[in-house]
Formats: sequence, C-alpha cells, structure tokens
Amino acid sequence: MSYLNAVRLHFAGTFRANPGTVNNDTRHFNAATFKERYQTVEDPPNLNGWWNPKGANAFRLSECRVTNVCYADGTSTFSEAEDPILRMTVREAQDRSAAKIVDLDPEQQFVSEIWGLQINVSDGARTAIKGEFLPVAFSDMWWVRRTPWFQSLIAPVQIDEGIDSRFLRELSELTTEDALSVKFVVDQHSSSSDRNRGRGFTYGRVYGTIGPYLAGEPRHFVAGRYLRPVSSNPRNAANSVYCISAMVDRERPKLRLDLGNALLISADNALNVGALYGGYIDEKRGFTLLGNATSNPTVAPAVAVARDAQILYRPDVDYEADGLAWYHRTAGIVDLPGNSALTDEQMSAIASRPLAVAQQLSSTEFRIVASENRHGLFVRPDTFTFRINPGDDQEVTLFATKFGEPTANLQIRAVEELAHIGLGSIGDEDEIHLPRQPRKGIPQDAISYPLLVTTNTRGVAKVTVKTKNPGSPRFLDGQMYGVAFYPADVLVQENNNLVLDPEYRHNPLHALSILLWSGMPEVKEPTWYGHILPILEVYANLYPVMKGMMRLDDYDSVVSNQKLIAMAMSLDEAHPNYMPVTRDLSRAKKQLILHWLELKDNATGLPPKGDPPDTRPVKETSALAGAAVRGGKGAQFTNG
Amino acid sequence: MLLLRAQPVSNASELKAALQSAISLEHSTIPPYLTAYYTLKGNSPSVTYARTVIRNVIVEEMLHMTLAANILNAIGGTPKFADPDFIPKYPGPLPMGIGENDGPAPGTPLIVELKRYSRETVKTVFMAIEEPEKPFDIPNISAFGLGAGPRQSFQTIGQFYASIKEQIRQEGDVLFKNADPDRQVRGWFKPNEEPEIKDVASALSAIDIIVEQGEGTPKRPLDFQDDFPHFYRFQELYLGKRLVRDPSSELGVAYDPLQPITIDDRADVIQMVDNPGELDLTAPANLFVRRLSNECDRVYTKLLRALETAFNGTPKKMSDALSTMFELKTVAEELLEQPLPGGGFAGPRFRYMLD
Repeated sequence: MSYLNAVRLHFAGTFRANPGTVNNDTRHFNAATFKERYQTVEDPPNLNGWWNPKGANAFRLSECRVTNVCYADGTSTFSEAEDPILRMTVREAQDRSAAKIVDLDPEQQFVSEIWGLQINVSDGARTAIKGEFLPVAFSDMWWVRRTPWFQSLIAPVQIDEGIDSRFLRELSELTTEDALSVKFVVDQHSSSSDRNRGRGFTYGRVYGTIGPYLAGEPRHFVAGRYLRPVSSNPRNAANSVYCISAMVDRERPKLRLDLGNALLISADNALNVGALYGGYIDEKRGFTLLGNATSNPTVAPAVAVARDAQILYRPDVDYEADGLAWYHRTAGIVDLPGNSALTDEQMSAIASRPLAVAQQLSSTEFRIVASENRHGLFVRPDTFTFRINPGDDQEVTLFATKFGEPTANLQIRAVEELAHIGLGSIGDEDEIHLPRQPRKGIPQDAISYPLLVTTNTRGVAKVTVKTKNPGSPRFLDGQMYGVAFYPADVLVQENNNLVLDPEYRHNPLHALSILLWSGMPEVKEPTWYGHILPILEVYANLYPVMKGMMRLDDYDSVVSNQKLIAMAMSLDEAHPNYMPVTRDLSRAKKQLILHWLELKDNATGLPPKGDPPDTRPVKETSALAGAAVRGGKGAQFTNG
Repeated sequence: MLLLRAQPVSNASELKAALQSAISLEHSTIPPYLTAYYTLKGNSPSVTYARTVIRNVIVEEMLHMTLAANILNAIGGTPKFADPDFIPKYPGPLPMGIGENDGPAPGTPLIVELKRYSRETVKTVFMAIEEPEKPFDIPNISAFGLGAGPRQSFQTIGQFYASIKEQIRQEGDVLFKNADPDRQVRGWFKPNEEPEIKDVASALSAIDIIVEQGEGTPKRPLDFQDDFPHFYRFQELYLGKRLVRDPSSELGVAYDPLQPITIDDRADVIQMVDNPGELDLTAPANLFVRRLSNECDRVYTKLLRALETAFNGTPKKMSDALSTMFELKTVAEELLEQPLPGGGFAGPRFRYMLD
C-alpha cells in the first residue's frame, strides 16, 4: 500500500538537480587524452563538458508546500484551518549540505540516485515529520515528458505527535515500522542555456506523496498492480500515457491509481491528452469501464458508449489554476469510482482480470492506452542499482504479484540483460578516433547468480549475486553488468533462445544495473606519483567544481587538505558529504588513499610523494601507471 | 580607530552577553570579506596573493568566533548563531554600533556594505574595521570592570576584550567548574591557536589570540605567532606592496616596493553590484538569479544552524558546517557568473532564510 494508502499527504514545489556533466562521457575518464575544453560548457558541435560541467551534483527540495491531506475515511482537506500540517512545507535538512544526485556509471545514466537527502515536514518552528530518505535510484524515466520518480522510505522517522493534526494522528496510528513511504515525481527540469527558462536552469517541478510504510512492503515501489503503455512508439498517440502503479483499497473499496508519471503534461502545464477512463479487460466483453454499477456499459476493446463511467480528468479544465489544481493537490493519485465504491461484482472481476486505462476517441469509441499484462504478473527487484566490490556477495530482493496479490511459488528466471546499459556516453565527433568502451558485461564469469528462484508465501524471492574480480576490461574502473528477472512462464524456449512473451511488456529499466569494481593487489607503500595521482587526476578532470576547494591533481593541495579528505572519505556513503560525491570509487582504492594519507615520509613527515614518472609524455605515463594499479590490463584499451 | 557601544562587563551574566556580542562581532566581518574574496577572478600572482591574504583573515575571524564561543560554552552559556538578527543588515552598522572615533561625529556607526573587491573597500572598510589601537592608546585596564563607568560607554575593540578578560579574572576558575572538553569545538585550526577552555588562564590566552591576530601586540605589528595582524595585511593590498620581515627596521617589518601587488579593480574583479540584498529580483528576467540568491541565503542559514548545533554540545557537527561553507562558495560563485539585466553581476546577500 505504502504511500498509496488512504492516509497520505501531498506536496508540490521546486527541486534542483545540478549534476556535473563532464563525467557523462566515458572518454573523459581517460587522463591520457583529457583536454581542458572538456571542462567547459558545450559549444555545438563540440560536446565539451556537456550542458553543466561545473555542476556540484546537488539535489534540493525548496518551496515545497503541503497541498492536501487525505484521511482514512476517504475525506481530504487543503484547508490550513482544518489541519495545521497544511501550513507546513516539505524541506531538506536545514543544517547540512544538500543531498547529491549521482549516476551509477557513465554507461548507465538512466537510474540516477539521490544520496543524503533528509526530509522534514516543518513550519520552521515545529517539525511534524523528520527522517532520512534512504538512497534510491529513479524509476520509469519517461523520455516523452523527461520525467522519472523516486520512491523510498523516510527512516528512521520522528513524528511529532504533540502537534494537533488529525493527519498526524492517523499516520502515527498506521506507522509500526519506524518508517514512512514517500514518492515524488520530478519534471520540467531545465538544462537550457536560457537561464530563465521554465523554473530556471537546473530547477524543476516536484510533486509528491507521503504515507505510512507497512511491514513486508518493498521500499522502492508499490507491489501492487502495474500498468504499462501499450505502445512505446513516441509517434503513437497512445504513447501519451505512461506507467501506472495501482492498488485496490479493500476497505473502501476503491481502485487507487497513481497517474503522477503517467500523463503527458507539457512544460506549459497543458494536459494534452483526451479524457481517460479506468476499467479492466474482460476476456469476452473487452474493455469494461469501472463506472456506476447500474449503468456500467460493457464494450469491445476500442468501441464504447461512455455514459456513466468514471472520468479520470477532463481536458477542458485548467488543473493548474488556483481553486482546483488537481495535479497540485493529488500528485496524480485518483480513486475509482470517484463518488461511489466498487461493487462486489467489480471487485471479483478485477481480482483476475488485467486493469486498463483507455482514451476516449469519440463519444462512442475508446482505445486502451495502458494496461496490466494478460497474466496479471509483475516482478520487480526492490533495488536495482548496485555497486559491488569484487568478491562480495550482493543479495537482491524480488517481489512478485499476480493481479496485485503476492504470488507464492512463482518461478522467476534470471536472464542476462544489457540493453539498458551503455545508452549514453557518446563523445564529440572530432573525438571519434578515441577508443570506445569495450563490450559491456564481460568477462561474463565475474558475476554469477541462480538462474531460477521461487517466491515464498509472501511473494518474495531472494537472489544472491556472487562476484569475482572482473580485471580491467575498461579504462573506467570495473565493468557494468545487467540481469533481468521474469516470471518463468512468460519465457518460451525457441530453438536455443528464451523468447519473452511480448504481451508481458517488461520494463527494461527494472533490470539490475551492476557496477562491479576491479580488484587490485594490495599496495603496502603507496606514493603520490605511483598510485594516488593516477586515481585523483581523473577526479580533478571530471569535477571542475572541486577547484574552488582544492586541486585534486596537486600534491601540495591534497596534502594541505588531507584531514578533510580523510574525513569525507570515511563517512557513511549515505552522508551528503561523502567523497567522492559520485560514489564511484572501489573500496580497495578508497582504502589505498586513506592508507596513503596516514603515511609519513621520513624526510617530510607528510604522505610520501615518490618519484615522478620520467618517461614522456607525462600525461600518458600517469594513465599507464593507473592501468598498472588496476592490474595492467587497461593499457590495451587506452591504446585503441 | 573604531569604537563600539558596549556596557562594561561587571557580572557573570553580562560576561555571557559580552561573549555573545564578541561572537556576533567576529562573524559580522566575514560576509564583507567573503564577498571581496569571491569576486577576485583569475589566477595572476597578485590576485592569488590577495586571495590568500583575505582567506587567511577570514579563517582567523572564524577562529576568533570559535574561541569566543568555546569560552561562552565553557562558562555555561549557549552560543547563538541561528537567528535572523545574528546577521547584520548590509549595508548597515556592525554589532554594538561599532563606529568612528574621530571626525565630526564621534561614535557615528561605520556602515559596512557588501561590495566587490577594490582598493578603496580594502582601505575604507576592511582597514577601518581592523585598525589597531596605537601603543599609547592602550587603556588602563583597571578603569574597566569595576562598575564605575557609564552603562553605555564607548570602547575600542581592544578595550571591549580587555573588559571581558578582567571580568573572567574576577570570577576566577570557579566560573569554569562545568566546562566540558567534549563540548568544545577544537581540531579545526592550528593546535597552538585553539586552547581547551577550562580555566581563567586558558580563557585569557584565547582572548589574547583574538586581539593579537586582529591588532598585533602593543609593541609591534606582529601577533603571538609572529604573523602580521589583519590591519597590516589589508594595508599590503591597499599600498600594493608586500609586507616582509626587515631586521633593519625598528618594528622588524617593512613594505617592499620590489614586491608589488597589482590588482586592476575592473579586469581582476567580477563586477558584482554593490549590496546584492538591495536588488529587486521580482522581474521574470531575474528568475534564475532570484532562485540562486534564495538558495545561497538558505545555504548560509544552514551553515549558521550547523554552527549553533556544533557549539552547543555536538562538536562533530562542525564537519557539516565546513561542507556548507564549501557549498556556499559554489553557489556564490555560480551567482557571481550571472549578469543582471540592469548591468553588473549578481552576488550573495547573506540573509537568514529557511526553506
């Protein structure tokens, strides 16, 4: 149920995502070929350092007002007089630096993560809700609208029960796990060179929902019903609707749909898709509206007479205008039917039939634009991004539902999936001669996992991914791997291949994205020139914003900041001040640097400098030194 | 020389108030110094040198704030930072109405503005703030702290600190009976600059550090570490000559014309408008600058809030204060890159603003 609970709070406001973009291009990781202009903003046709080379990777929430609260009895209010929590705002931490937004790897920029965000619901004087937002990657990036969503826990959570708020009382009553569930959709993010466009450069709009977290639920998605668009072709009109999470609220009873990232809302706030209708797909009658029981029309898949069906929203209404502000007040969550409850017959029908949302083409015609698959099966890993040190095991938790219910004894098959990796990271035309990254996912035997797992009675299966040192297949550290999970029944063996039932409409971004770091031999006596500079030089190249604080490629600068560096690198990774901000340094390399920072050269009392490499050119030498640290295999890739 | 309005300290509660005023005073110089520091551009040797000069002064002001807060904390006080009134309004007077002694209107407050770097600002604001007492101006300390003076008297900054010292002496070590080393913020500056405040002697040595780093010892323009006090370091920038040790000079130091500091007030300085807090940013053409200005204010506010937590029992919170200082610099630099429709560039406002 999570944030999709009847008891929930909605908020709306502004976010900022200010990622540094020099590291968007894999070739910028090659110190031997790095150019100064890669630290400057793009200048077409040169990509240079892309659109925001000086970005500091901040992720901020600001001016996010609580817009509406919903109660257990199905009522809601946006009146400050009725519930004082409506006077509050949803804020980041008020006494520490901003959260960070970070890509997993330049080869996987579609699962950006937020680290170090604290969420407060407060008016400054009192804080009603406070807790850490557990790090998570965004899901379901919809390119048509350039919008993804983040869902996680606020945990551990403090709720101030001394505030006289009906919402807080109802929320506290439901909270048993010391955690709340929060989800927010971000859109309208501006990366335009026109700094005043939209909400301003690197700013965007955020809509969110906070509700209770119940025991056994996934942390990062709703294990309920998952509707996918029937077409992914952007030229298809049906593509104006995207993925929808939904669940049945048995108590009321209602079907609750989250359309927060499902509707095509363009930059000027127009809702430019026709009226939508909710229903299910009956094997005989086709699309069936979930409307008033007495006048519920049954229709063929694309033809219908709409009389009393529930309208999700109306295109003739300005939902952004004050006084209505439907999206603003609901973050896109709707209950069906609006003014009545589901009948027993409807409850029974949707318990075993795929849900669907349809567009009205005319007064008599409908077209299904999003639906559950015909099996009603939905399998997703709770977390799908991982950074793994070689030799470590990583447990992955899978949740499986069938028509919204946990499904026991479901066989799930793990399949290598690489289609979602390596989609970005193309460099300048004039740099095309530089070596491209080698094939992803090699060596294949560096990760292993059981090919078949079975869900338990709660519909949960645990998979352990075992790893070993992948060596240095790229000049970036480590290698990217991907694994997708499917219900075994939707895969069919054809010749030697497993073929996916196209009706299953798998979301490739739900596959695991794994960065497996390279191993390295232990270095007892690291030196600046021999071991540390080759690592830090890459960071100096990729993050020009650091120049304001220190020069990571300069021994004196690093040594004079050694205490700060050691402190930042020793923090928990979830702390906003953790270094490196990009969280892309293996444990072995981090320990190497921390070890070096503690060493004292006999002569200087400072960390040992060693001898500068004496071969020319210097840049190439240092890159090769870096390759040597990683096992010497990187050289074959840096030489093209 | 500047005078300030402060009540002579005559009991323990006035001592706490005076130490809080000292924290506010030391802090109040940081925004104008930071503004000058942020607006220097390029990496010419002179600019780099000026940046180092100003940065070192700022770090010492932070040290002074830390020392005053540690003393307050050690005598059972609660240092305050996270308050809208803690930040002076710029342009405006510094805390305690600090002002000019000479001139036609003695005691008229010095109005401090947030301005980009210029020789003139260095002279008329920074050097004015840091101007030391002349040796013959050293007061007779016994005149203060005895409760004989008028309640609203003018003092020099040195006298202000001297009266704090005198009251600490009078209260004696019992004043520090609840001092807790685990509540002191230490480990962020040079070890010999940050004594653990636990008794009269350590508190007095901390105040000596504050006064000497700012003004020098009464006998020569050097502090206890043999460094140049702030006034003379700013004077280097104003005169355009580096200050060097010179055994042949009576004071042991001299300005060296062969080591010029040449900073072009236009070419080497971001042309930030004066007092960005006075800009009206409501026009759509200022949308991005408005957002960034708010963000900059919020980061500064977070910094003050982290400091307040650090100085009231959670010293490890200083790491968050430090990281927000870095964040402040990145946001301020971003702001300073934004041209304004009316000419000049935007800049940080140093306002208290919660989300």
